[in-house]
Amino acid sequence: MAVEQVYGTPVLNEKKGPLGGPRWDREPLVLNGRTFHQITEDVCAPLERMPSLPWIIAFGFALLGAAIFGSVIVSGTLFTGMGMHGVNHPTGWGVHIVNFVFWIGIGHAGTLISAVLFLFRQKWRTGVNRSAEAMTIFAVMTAGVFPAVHVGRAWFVYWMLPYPNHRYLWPNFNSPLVWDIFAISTYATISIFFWYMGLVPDFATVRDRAIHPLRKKIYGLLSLGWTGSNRAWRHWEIACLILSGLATPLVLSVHTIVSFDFATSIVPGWHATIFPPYFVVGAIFSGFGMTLTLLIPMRSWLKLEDYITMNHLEATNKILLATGMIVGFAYSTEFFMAAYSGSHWEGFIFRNRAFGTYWWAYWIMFSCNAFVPQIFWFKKMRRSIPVMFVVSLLVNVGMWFERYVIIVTSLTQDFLPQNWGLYVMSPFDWGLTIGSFGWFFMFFLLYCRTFPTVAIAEVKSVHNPDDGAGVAAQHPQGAH
Amino acid sequence: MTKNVWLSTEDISSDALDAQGRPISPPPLVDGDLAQANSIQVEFPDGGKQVKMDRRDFMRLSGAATAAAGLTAATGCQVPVETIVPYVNREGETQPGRPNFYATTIHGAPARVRTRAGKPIHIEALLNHPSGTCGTTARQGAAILDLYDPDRATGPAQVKGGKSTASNWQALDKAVVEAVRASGAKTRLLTGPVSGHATQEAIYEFLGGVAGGAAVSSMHVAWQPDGHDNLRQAAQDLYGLDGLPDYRLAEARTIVSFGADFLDNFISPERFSSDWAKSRSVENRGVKMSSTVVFEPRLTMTGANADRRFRVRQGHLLGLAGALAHLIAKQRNASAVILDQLKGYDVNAVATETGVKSEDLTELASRLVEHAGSCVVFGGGVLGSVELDKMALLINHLLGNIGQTVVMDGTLRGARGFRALLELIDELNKGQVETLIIANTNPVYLGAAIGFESALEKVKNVVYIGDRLDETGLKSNWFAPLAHDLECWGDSATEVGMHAIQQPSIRPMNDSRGLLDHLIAWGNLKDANGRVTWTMGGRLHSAVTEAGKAAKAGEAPSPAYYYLQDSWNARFFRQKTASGSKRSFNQALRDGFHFDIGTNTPATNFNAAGVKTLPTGPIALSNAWDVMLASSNAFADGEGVQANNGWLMELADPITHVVWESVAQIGPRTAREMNLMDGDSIMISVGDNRLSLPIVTQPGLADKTVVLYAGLGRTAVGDVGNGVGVNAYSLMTNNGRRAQVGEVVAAEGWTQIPRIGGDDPRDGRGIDIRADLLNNKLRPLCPESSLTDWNTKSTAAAKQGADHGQGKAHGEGHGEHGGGEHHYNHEYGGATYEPHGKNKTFVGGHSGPSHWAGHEYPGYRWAMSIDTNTCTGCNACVIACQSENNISVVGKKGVLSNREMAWLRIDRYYSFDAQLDNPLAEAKHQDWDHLAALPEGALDNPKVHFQPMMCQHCENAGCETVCPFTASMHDDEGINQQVYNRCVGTRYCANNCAYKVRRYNWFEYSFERTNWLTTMVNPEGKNHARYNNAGDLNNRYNPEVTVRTRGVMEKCSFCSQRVQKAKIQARSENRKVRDDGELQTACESACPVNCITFGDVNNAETRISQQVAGVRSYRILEEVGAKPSVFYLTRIWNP
Repeated sequence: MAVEQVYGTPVLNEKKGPLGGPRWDREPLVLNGRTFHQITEDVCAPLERMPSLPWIIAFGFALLGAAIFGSVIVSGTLFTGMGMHGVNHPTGWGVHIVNFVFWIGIGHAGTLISAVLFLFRQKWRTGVNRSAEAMTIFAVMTAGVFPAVHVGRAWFVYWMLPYPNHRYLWPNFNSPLVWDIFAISTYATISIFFWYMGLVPDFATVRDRAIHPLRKKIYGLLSLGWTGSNRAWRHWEIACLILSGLATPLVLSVHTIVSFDFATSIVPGWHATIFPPYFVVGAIFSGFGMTLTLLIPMRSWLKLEDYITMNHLEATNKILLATGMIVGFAYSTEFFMAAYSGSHWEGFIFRNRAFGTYWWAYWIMFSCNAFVPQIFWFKKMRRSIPVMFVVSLLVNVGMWFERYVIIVTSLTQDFLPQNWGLYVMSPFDWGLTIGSFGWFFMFFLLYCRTFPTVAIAEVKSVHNPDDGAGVAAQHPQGAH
Repeated sequence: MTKNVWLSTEDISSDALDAQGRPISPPPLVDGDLAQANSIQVEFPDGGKQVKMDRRDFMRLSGAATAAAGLTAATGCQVPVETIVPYVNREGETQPGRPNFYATTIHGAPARVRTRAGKPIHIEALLNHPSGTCGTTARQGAAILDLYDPDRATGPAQVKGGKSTASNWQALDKAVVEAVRASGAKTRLLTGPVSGHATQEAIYEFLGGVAGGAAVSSMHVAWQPDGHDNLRQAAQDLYGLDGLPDYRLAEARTIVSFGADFLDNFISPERFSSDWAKSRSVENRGVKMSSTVVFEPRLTMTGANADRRFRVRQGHLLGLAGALAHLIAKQRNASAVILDQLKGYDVNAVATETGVKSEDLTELASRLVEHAGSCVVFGGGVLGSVELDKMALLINHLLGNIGQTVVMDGTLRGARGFRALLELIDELNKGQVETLIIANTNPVYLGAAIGFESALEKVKNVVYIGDRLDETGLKSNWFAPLAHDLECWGDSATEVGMHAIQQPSIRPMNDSRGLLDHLIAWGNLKDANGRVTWTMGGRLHSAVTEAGKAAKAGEAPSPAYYYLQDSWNARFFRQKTASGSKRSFNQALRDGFHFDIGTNTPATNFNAAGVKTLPTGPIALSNAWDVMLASSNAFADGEGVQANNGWLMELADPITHVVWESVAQIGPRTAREMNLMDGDSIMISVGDNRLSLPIVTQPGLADKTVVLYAGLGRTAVGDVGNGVGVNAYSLMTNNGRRAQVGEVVAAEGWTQIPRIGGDDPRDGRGIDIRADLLNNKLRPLCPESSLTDWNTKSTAAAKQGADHGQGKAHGEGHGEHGGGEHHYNHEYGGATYEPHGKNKTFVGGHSGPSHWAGHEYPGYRWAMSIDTNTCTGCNACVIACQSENNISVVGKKGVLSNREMAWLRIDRYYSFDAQLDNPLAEAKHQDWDHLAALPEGALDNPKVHFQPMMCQHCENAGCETVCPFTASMHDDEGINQQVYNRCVGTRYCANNCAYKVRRYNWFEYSFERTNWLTTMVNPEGKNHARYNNAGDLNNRYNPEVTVRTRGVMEKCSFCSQRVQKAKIQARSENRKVRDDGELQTACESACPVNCITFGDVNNAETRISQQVAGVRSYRILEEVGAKPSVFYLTRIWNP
């Protein structure tokens, strides 16, 4: 059966069953009948050739962004003071925290794909998990910069860590910011381990293919002396399972804790019990949005269309549709809660969000996150590269504005009218925001050229090159 | 500068005099009991006594010292390494770690100066001053910053063509003496207000010496732009009085003002405020609380605090006053002359013309008649007219207030206004003046539009005595630097019978002299050896010889001291012996005042003929605009003398909240008609004078009225004030009136208005009035009540209180109930106070259910109450706080970015519920609609609420739980502490503060730490350095309070340094801190109306406990559940 006939939803084949009965055929996870060798060749090719012009251009822009990011932090935040930013009285938090929450949210998709989908035996994850995890780690690395440099005296930020010292400095465990430290560092640690664990056999593949001795040395070190023995594979699988088990609750916990930064405060618009689930879903939503933004160009430039197939993208779009609706529901619930609570402050803040000074930010948020993904009800749209790329960008924009709306509208106009103010981003804030994308893409682009961007070993495990379509999917436990 | 101080440690223990003839100021914390003060052990001796110490003690102490040094370094948050000088050559009475206090006067009004290590650091209230002026003004408090102003002149100079060259005293004195001797009676002395006996005497003696028998009174012109020409003229016409009436508000039942802003800018506002507050006391006086009724075109502080305010045009004031006078005259059976004169003022006609209801006028008239003899009627104040003041005096006369609440004995003189300057200009232009000495006033700036500068060119010799080479200084020939009030001797009398000495608390920091010293020096010419070669004789001479004699014996005070003593002795003490007079003089110095009512008999003879000059009826309103040149207690005051003072420039004007900018205030209705928004420019023309400046829409203003605050637009005042705003006096015309008529048209341009509180930072045109509006029904932030309600409720509460007292006797198990249940739970919030058993738990109002038992306060429990019923919004507390707590100035750009640092701010709300028919529209507006959506006229005459807002020291403080570094924490005395050196600056605490009272150091404001990178990135940093630490400005810092670095959160600490000091003092005497003013926060001490009370609520006897437990007490945002320690007392209106 021709592969192109099978795509998307499973197709019924009346006589193809093992006993001659009907069989539901799925699109194969690797297209065009690539052999195991071809898989290795395809994935390792970008690592073993000179960078292409698009990559060089993209990397140039990313470097520029990263340079802006760094120079804004050094010259403004660290040397001159937080005054260089738009934060003021009463808006104590601004784009630093907006970006922090945004990037942490981005970081959710990777772990969800690798850990949760792993536990749920979603085999399609193998094509995208490596890059999604890479995105997670780089997003957390980007996010982590913001809380560290948004404080007034960044050189003392390590005081937030509980470490024994002669000054009896000990963090205040009542503070959600301290919880953040633990949540995020744990998440980052597990994510890195999990990612690295998956990378070990693939690094060994790259090592084995290496010609230059230095290259061999580096990848040899990275692959931790992987031999490919049965014993090694067995331990490796157990480790992956354990790590995915550890990582799964973290998908929920990190953004829950981040939402506590707001939910445990008394600020109207922040003080809400809905925040933890609302934040987690929003994070998954934005994470998948960013995954799409990254994978669509990557699969094309690195010629990985056979591994990151339209089916993968469609599955991602379905998740976007689902989470987008949950997010939209959460937005509406907030209004209901504000009205139902009878609290004037709460009521005011939500009316003000939708119709007040920052109405534009609110409606950017609402339309990008709740309305735009609705387009994925249509299969054609779900499988259209241009449409999904635009949607993924809009989801990113919408989710950035979600954090902007939550932080800025709540702080600018709270209890005492005489405290009210506005928040306007300064050039430094713009530099920081745009620069953070440069910083993130710099890592991602480097990753594209130095790491196997598709999990070679895992893809092979779900792929049967002899069977054109869907055979692998029929093995209930998968075949390694 | 050789020596800063005079007294020795020994002097403190005796009331002997120091070598300077200056008495010792009593240590203030112990009721003036010197013996007691000296019994206090100084923990680390100052070196005055021999230290006996063995090796072990030495090691122990040096260990402690090292630890202390480490602590200091840490507290300073990265304080840069600085060269320090050991305190070996310590001066006289200074003791490390202990302040000295000096009673003195600042700007003529009594105050007390606190010095540390010989440097004045804080100006506060002179306690126990009998006039009831127990506070300071914002301008007085800010004078500390002026003292250290690096832009002050450093020495005498000769000026030619606007360029100065440094000179010396000998050359200057010689030139001046030659000039005045040559000019004789063609000499004139132009000064600011001069009220002190000795100063006046010195002026007359000097001018007498110059003129040789001519009429010296015409040679001295004392004036100020806020002068009292009108009232003086009115008093002259009606009573033949050469001087000003004085008003006694404390006993008044009804106070009416026709524009006089007596709470802010009229005669003696801080004293009037204090008396006004006394008259409004609801606790002690009950139903006798006074009622204030104000008719005015602009919104003044007085109008904002009035029980009833009528918004009328300036031109209508006379008609209204006349109608009122007419009504009263009829009821009080006035003489035919008066009735005849007033018959044109028909109440109905006036009512129709002005829009004020005739019933209101009739009601007011009968109320005044009812309170005849115990009411006060003010005229038009500084901006009024002779006719208006006359009419007001006439009403006072008709009501029999003269001699009761209005006192006229001629001792209170008051300076003249612009008319005096105009007369002088006339003289100058006619060439009648050869030598003009100008002292402590800046007529070139003030008289810019009325031709003073060109008139000055006709004068041969111009000598300028001023603190800097300002606009007038640059036009003079000789510049004689004037010492600051804190540096030189002087005296003043700003109240009938009250005389005060201005005592220096530091030697002149620059090469300058006081006014008295200048006059003495010019009355006695000395040669290079200091020998007097020519003299005018009299006291001017004896002062110099006495000073010379004393100088031979050692360090001597300036001759002004001897002059002052001599003059006061002759006038007040009349002691026969030198020692006797010295004793009396020293007593006055110690007290800060001397009371001597004198022998003047009060004028009571009403001159009915004076009434005849009054217009026979209301004057019809012209079609022109009213252009009013007003003064604000913020900014630079109306004269611009403090225009280089960053504190005042950044102090929110109580009404507009504008800082760092000149604006024209226009009523919202007029602005809408002209299609103008805040920041749009208008062109104001008065005669040929034009001025273009941005507007703010100011609720409460009369139609077609534009109000400008004067005092800005200086060109030669210094780096801070130069070029800020425009000079409103450039609209002055030759009629000398500050309420002018002119034209206003829209002009090109838009300016962003820097305002304190509730405004956008950088947003374009959307300056938003929403933040000023308060809907007390939706957001009951400013509870209010009427006197009638209060009287019934307070009775009910008293009854409930009695019941509760019985209940308390039952004892334990009470604490679980929380507050409310046993208490009179009134609608304002229902905070209660309940001292409980051994835990002494303080229970706040709506405590609600809680899992948490709360904090325990075993010892003290500090709390504060603020009586909104008397708070006038005068800002004295704001400046006192800034001075006490080393708060930085952030500059105009900082304010535009909403980054002002004031720990204590005065929120000002307009509530307009009375004017609106549709409560739904009101709610809608408060929520999100814009100004355009407000119903027509909603902001015409809003009710104004002032609400001082500082850290509320919550029990369940939002800031405390969220700080990851534990920098914000609660102590066991109820103070919410901010540990600066632990703060890393997440700003989470500020976000989680419902009151948004925490302030963040966005930049390095307090230390000059600039490098090429920060200068490039943030050019504003140089301005911060200028505002806060250029030159000697560092010396103003209160050493008891850490100066914060960038990245650190700060906020009101309840003046914890004062708390600590009082506690240590009390502990050393084995007692508790007393409730008698021993412990006052800076704001409390500065408040002229005594509306702030601070103290221990664990002690049921204290004033604070009683206030907190009272019916009027409430806490703001009670429903948030933070349980603040700051209680507000409900405003009671008595309309």
